[in-house]
Amino acid sequence: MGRVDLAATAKRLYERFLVPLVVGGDVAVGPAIGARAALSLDGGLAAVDTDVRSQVDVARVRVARRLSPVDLLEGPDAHEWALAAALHDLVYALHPELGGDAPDRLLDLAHQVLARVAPPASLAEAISRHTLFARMFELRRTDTAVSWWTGSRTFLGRSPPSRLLAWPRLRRVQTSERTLTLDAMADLPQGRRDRFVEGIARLLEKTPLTDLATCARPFPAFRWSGASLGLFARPNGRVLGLRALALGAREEVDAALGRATRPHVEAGASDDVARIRSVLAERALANPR
Amino acid sequence: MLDRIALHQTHLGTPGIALDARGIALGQRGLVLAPTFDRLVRWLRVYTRDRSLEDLLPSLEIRRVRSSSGSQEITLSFAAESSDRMDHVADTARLADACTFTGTSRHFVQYRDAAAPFGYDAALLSAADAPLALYHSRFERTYDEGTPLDLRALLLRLQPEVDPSTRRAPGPRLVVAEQGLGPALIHYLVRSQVEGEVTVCEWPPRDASRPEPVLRHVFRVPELPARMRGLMAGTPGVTVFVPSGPGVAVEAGYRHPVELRACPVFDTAGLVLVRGGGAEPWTIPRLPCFGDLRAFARLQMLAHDPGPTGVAVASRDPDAIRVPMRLVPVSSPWHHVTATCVPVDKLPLLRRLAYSLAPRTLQDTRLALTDRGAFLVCPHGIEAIPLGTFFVEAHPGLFTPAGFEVVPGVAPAVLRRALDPPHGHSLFVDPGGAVVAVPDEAFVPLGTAVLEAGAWDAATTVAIDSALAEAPLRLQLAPVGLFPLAGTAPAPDDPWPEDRRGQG
Repeated sequence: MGRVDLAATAKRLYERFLVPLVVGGDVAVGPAIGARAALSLDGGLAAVDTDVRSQVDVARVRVARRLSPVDLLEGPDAHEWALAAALHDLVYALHPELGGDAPDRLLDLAHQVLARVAPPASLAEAISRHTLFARMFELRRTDTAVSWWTGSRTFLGRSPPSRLLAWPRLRRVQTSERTLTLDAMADLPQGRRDRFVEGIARLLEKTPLTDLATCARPFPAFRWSGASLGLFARPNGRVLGLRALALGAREEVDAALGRATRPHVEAGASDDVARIRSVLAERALANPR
Repeated sequence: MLDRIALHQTHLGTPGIALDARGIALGQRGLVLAPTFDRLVRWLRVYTRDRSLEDLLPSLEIRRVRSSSGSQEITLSFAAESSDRMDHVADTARLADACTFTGTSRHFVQYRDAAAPFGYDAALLSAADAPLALYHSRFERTYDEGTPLDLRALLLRLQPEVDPSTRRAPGPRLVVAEQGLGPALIHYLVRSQVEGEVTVCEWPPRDASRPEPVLRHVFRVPELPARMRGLMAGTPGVTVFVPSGPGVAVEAGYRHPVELRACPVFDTAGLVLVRGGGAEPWTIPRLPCFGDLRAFARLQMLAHDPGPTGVAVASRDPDAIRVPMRLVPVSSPWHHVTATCVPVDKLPLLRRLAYSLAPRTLQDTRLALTDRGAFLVCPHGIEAIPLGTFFVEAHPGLFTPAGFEVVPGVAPAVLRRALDPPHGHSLFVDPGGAVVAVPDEAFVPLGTAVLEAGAWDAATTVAIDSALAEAPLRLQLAPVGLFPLAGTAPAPDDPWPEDRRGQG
């Protein structure tokens, strides 16, 4: 393996992936980062435009203040860099042009990274991670199909060149767009898809507030993790967790919590069930119908 | 022995002296040492020339002190407050040949001068148990406690200086007339139409043989005419004073050595009249009330009672002199033409004219549509509507035709009362003499009356996106190239530094 310019990689990851993931806009993935580089990224913000950093800070504070009245968030730490790199590689593994076993290797690398990242050690870390990954399930890919008088072509996740759209009446150009969610993008063979979904689930275990705030998501199905139950074990964490749960639609959140609780009840895990029951009771009291 | 204070010096040996924000040695009090009264008065004259003693007075203390060598000197001490104040006091003292010191209780050191910009510090303090010790670059003395001196008494002991220009200066005057001259002077001033006030003040008897108090008339004249100033100054028994400050006045022709206006030591409820020529001042502890001069003018009574003759008795037959109202044309220019009456046959013209009327005319003009035509009233003038018969508002609610006047020329209010209109009606007198009463409630804004609005279509409003809307996340894919995983490597076997943190 050749030497990797970590500063350039961090700058690329921040500006092309992490900034739009927080602020919105075009999220670009690729080239792959890998586990070794992901675990070595820490910094690289010195070369980033201060206006961009300020936009990111404002957007992160906006997300954080839905849960807690904080005004200042620190820049990404080593764990957050690693998580961002892991998510990048997970999404990059969905690239339709990747052939052979490249997607599997990428998923393995992301899992290696996720295995090294610890759950948040404090509530501040939990909030900070949530502000970075709160919108990860809003990621959309637009596929554009262009047909003209002599042929057709589909562009996955990129805009068709303007030359193909020129003279639309004369060339009888027709375009149709299809927008795919992250779930729809993961149209992979079953084993590879399971590996991808497991990767996303493990990423969510590292950012429990995001896990709770998006618990009504279609995939991966919400499940009570040690991190999320540990969050509710602290009084302040319990407040944050309940606020995160309150961000979703009430009925869908209740259904997701019920689905996640069922395995614990069936397994007879009385300690977990007691902890989950106290959370659900407090949620019911805090949000009366 | 004094030491010059150096820049950035922090320790001072004299108790009660500290460095202010500018680094200047300053105690809580300042002190001016004048060897004689002359120099103290000189200091007061110079100081009060361009600033008031009002700031110093609350803490001002003047004492006559005796030095250890037996000489008597005068000290004037006050709250130092700031080095700016002390600088001005020191400059003035230098001019008056006095010395300036600063300190807090007993030990006072020389205030700064050109030789020591940050001031002085006493290297060796006096061991004597004197109430006051002064340290100067030329001497070092101790003083006893001394006796306090009253500034007001000091000012009154100073003899005014001759200054004839104050006699000619304009402005208010206080005139004091002896008892016998008072009434004559009142009559003279009233007859000359001089405005003013007068009161009578009492002074203690001049000697024990005449127990009754001395009465004098005191006149307060805002502006004594120039022709009278010489007369007043030259009349024995009449003394003119020029107000020189709150509660004090100096005789005209003299000027007090100290600017009394800068010395607010006189009670404003009383009056001190400083006389020239070595005479003692007249003091009035409390000014009695003043009365207007005209109230004391001599009265003239009729020689006999006028009685009931000359009183008319009301007649019961006014119709004997009544005449009908007429309108006669006049050639004088028209003014305040504020109403017009457009006959019914001219109303189409008014409709066409409505398109060319200014917005303000449409807004301010009010219209009443009657069977006699349209009456239009605009308080700013009706010239913008050149139609119909113009009217002038002779009285509120009474309009007479422009170019005519009513004869007999009674007051408009009288005319309206004679016409006796119903309440809430405006009267329009046409050139033929006929009077039309129009109810005030019939008047509506012209814009409302002439506008025939068309039908309208409802427009659909478009919701404005929230300013906080977030841009969507669009995944952009680039070609992966020949080696899509180039540069990637698995995680190292050694524990991640962050792992070690977690284990720790």
